[in-house]
Amino acid sequence: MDLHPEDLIEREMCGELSPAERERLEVHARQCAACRLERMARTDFRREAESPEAETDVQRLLATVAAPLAMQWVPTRSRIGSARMRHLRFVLVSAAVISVTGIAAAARWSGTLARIATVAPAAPVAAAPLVQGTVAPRHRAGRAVDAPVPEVASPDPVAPVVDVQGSNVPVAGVATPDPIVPVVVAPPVAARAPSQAIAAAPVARATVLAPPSSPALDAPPVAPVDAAPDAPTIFRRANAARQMGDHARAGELYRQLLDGFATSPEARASLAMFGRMLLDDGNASGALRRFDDALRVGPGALREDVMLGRALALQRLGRVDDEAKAWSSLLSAYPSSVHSERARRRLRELGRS
Amino acid sequence: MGVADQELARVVPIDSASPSVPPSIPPGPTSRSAAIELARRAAAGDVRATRRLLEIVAPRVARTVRAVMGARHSDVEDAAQLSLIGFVQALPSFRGECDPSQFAARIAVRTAGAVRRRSRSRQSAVDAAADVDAIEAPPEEIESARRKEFIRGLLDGLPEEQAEVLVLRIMLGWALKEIAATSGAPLNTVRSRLRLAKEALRRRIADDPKLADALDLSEVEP
Repeated sequence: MDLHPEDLIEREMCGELSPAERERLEVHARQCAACRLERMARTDFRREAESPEAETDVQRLLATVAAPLAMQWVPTRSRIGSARMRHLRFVLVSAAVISVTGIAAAARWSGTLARIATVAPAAPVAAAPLVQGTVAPRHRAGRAVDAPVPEVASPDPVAPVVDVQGSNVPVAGVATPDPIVPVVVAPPVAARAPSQAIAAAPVARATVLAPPSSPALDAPPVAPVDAAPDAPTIFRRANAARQMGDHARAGELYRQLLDGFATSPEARASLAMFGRMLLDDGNASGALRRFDDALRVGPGALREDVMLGRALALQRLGRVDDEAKAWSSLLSAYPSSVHSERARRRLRELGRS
Repeated sequence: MGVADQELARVVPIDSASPSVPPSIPPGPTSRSAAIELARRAAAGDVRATRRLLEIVAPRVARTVRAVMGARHSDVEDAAQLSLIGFVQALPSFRGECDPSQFAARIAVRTAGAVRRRSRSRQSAVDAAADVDAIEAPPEEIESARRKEFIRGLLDGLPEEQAEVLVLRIMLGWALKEIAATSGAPLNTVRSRLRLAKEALRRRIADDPKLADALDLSEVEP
């Protein structure tokens, strides 16, 4: 049966093309610029996805988004500073809060999150992360249980970033109605004006509480206090230095974080980033040490990328057997990983498929 | 524990008592059914399941956003973050009919497309082709960058459904059946959308012979 060229391309993508079908597809592609472009572009995009830059992007994204779910803060990007990005960060944490209110609240009050609070001391005001929302117990209809509730009634004046219409796929910036309104406890003293916190209200209606010990929401921001940097601050500075290309400074800060706050969540997260940076800088043995440390301290948010980095480090060190085992471990733990094709290809190259 | 995991545990002992991930949520639940179960728990408000789910979908979201917007686009990180926010918000509507990563990728396609369009409207003076020409790289990389930017530029003028199919097919390499399963559209509908998108692609190539030459896409007589 003569298949349509589109079907031939489909079979090619699935690796099911017979020699005769391939010949037919090649003949068609010589005449059809669109199909020729499609095939070339697919290869282009696949290569782009497999680039080291893409791996770094994933690490950064996870550090920015996944970590706050556990740590309740969002790292600062070097170029973040606009009201829009402050808003974005607030929305980010709020979205997480919206989705996890019940369980997180229970964890908060049962002491699970207390570990985080003790790890990231709140004393140095200047070092406080930009967003420090913590989750209070559930409240219905905006009524707080333990404190007066100044509600933020007006929606966010900043328009949602995405405005796709007529879609059955939700996009970011469109709130999911939730009958149970999450309550975000205002940080003791945020690094931004409280009025900004209200102006940058999340997409869903949220109630902002001022805990008994915190100043009123309309009070002026407290002047920064010069204090020794804590783990979140060092982590932010290290990431900023790395993103700016100042790897020497970034390495210094990562080491400072690992030496001074070894048990902090930030130190754990930094191992993956530090390792990747060293790998990019050609220090494969140093990178391998960091990746091994990252896996040793526990299965963190960046485990998949750590395993990838470890395999790459072993590859560069020429430790073929260990490298093959590392790729196999990655495939075993994450068979549907975006790096799986790369892992399989490398294992084939090593004759271990 | 598989052989590979045993090897990993031997080479790099993992502290199973780590407090960051509870025993009920293993670090690598990657089967589709496990991911769907995580999504169900996340939608119900399980913070750890949400976190684990984000770890699973983030690579695909990042790849999707980079593909749609271009790795050098200044709003890539914002779009990726927004896509994950959209994913978390959309979890209650996730019916478990596809892999959560694919569901997240669809959200990322639309989110990144919207961010890109908005960004282009803000910076209408920016010429993408000029940006590509500014790349200092081997010729084959420049050609690759041109092709990718050409496809991205095409997306801006396509109806949303066609653009989505084009992204999933060309940029992400999905099979038609995968696209149909994830979008909930019949296979023939997906075929039709792809056909229309490729017709638009042909028109764009025909309308710009200079670019077609640059991309080595001039029609060849049989």
